[in-house]
Amino acid sequence: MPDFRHLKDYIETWGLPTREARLEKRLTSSFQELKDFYEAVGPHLDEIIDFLNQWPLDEIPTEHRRLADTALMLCEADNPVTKWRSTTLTSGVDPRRLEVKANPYDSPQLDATKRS
Amino acid sequence: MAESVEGGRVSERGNPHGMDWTPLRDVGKAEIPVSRYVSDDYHAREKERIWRRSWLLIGRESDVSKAGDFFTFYLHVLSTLVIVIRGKDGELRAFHNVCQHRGAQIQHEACGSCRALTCAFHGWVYDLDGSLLNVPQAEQFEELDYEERKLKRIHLDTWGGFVFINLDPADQPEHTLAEWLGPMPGPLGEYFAKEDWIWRVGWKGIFEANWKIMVDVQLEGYHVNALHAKTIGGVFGPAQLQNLAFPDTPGMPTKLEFMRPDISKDKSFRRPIQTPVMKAAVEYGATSPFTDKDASSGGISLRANHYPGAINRLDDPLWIFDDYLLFPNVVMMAQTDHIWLQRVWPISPHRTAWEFEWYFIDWPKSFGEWFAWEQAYCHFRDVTTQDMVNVEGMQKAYRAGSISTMVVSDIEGGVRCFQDKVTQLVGAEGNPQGP
Repeated sequence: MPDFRHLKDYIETWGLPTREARLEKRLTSSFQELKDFYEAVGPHLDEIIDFLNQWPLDEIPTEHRRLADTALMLCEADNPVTKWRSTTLTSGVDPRRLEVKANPYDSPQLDATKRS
Repeated sequence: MAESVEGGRVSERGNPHGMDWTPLRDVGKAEIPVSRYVSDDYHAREKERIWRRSWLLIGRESDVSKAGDFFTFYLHVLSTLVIVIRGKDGELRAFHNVCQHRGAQIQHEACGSCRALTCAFHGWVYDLDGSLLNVPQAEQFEELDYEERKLKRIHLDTWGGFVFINLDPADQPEHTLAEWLGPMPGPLGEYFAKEDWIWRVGWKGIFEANWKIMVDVQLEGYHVNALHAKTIGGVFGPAQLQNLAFPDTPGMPTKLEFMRPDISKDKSFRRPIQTPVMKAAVEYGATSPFTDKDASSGGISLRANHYPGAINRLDDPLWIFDDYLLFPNVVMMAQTDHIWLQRVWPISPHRTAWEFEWYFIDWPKSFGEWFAWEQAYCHFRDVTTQDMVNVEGMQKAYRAGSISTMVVSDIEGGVRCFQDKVTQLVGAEGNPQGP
């Protein structure tokens, strides 16, 4: 088993379990914090994926879930660090305006016509 | 009025899949007035001439496979509440989601399953086929015609496993759904209908822009290298994008085929940055079409191979996805293993409800595949935030009169096709009688 112990602090800080939490973490971090994380964990990405690929997706042991979430956080940090040099994209609306739907029929509502 | 594309189009026939397709080479120079995006009068005309006459995509048939399964839908622009429900006889029906007693909304859930439809107001009960089954204290009504008080039907049909409704009050809509979607390739309909497509995620939002701006922006790739410079700039080759026009069909005015740049022909092309995260995603299926697949297996997925002609008509190695406009409000992007579906629903001339769905053939099976999906999700979300900031800015400019007409180029031909269809149905600005 590869040794990811040296990434422990990053995993604890950045291994957040939901997309919403990872986006929020990006938006509330400083650029330097995001960049430090990306540069520290990024070089281990292939190794992390290879390690987690030994299990079917829904059988990844609980103790490795945060490692998985840490790798997914790299997706959230990728554009900001490599292309924007900022935690936000000034040419876009706040990404939280793209609300995640509960199901395909959870349409935008102005009033109480529907419960999702 | 806007000049039609027909004058300048070059017809090429003989497509092996039976579809007459027309590459757009010359869309004309007629200006498109921006008043159609801001005028209350134009909006009012669109209600009757577009929204009450068009086939509207509102769901998937597989989501309502068993008797009693239902989903609901609300069409803001016509204040119409709809329910789609599977009957005990297996038939899928659409009704106004409204009790015929005093007009209360019956079903408030977005989707689910039920044995009968019961109105919460006074407890009237309808069968799954819309017939009125039970009225509490029925003897209190002087005369109650159960047949007269059954749920009001709405036209429904399906294509590719997608459920469409049509609110035309006539016994039959002017066009059948098959006529409406005439140029859609038959194998694509089979691919969509026969595979067990999975809805992985969707977004929703309300944006301060006219619905037509939000369609326009998805019908051309000219903007990509500028607006999306900090996300997907360089991914498409604008010169390779193939615009197709279907001016004679009622419901599918245009299709755009997105291609990667042909680097051998365009020496000035600068390859977009492939980050380590994108490279890792490519190794595991590259869910996102915006990663460079050249180094991986790429090409057509195994499932799509069962439906020759469904996608990538020209079998072009540079092909990324097919972008269809299903008039009026659906932009459907058909890809090797997934579908993007954008739908917009006008609320007012200046306000639009927006939905975006991601359908896939499968769930990721390994972490690597999940990672590729996460990369696509984050990447394309960022792209979409750029489209949205743009449409809201344009609406402000149109309202302010900062621009009075717009001009479109040949590589924005899809915008011309869409606006021609709008003009054909609604009429030109200031001319309610039509073009």
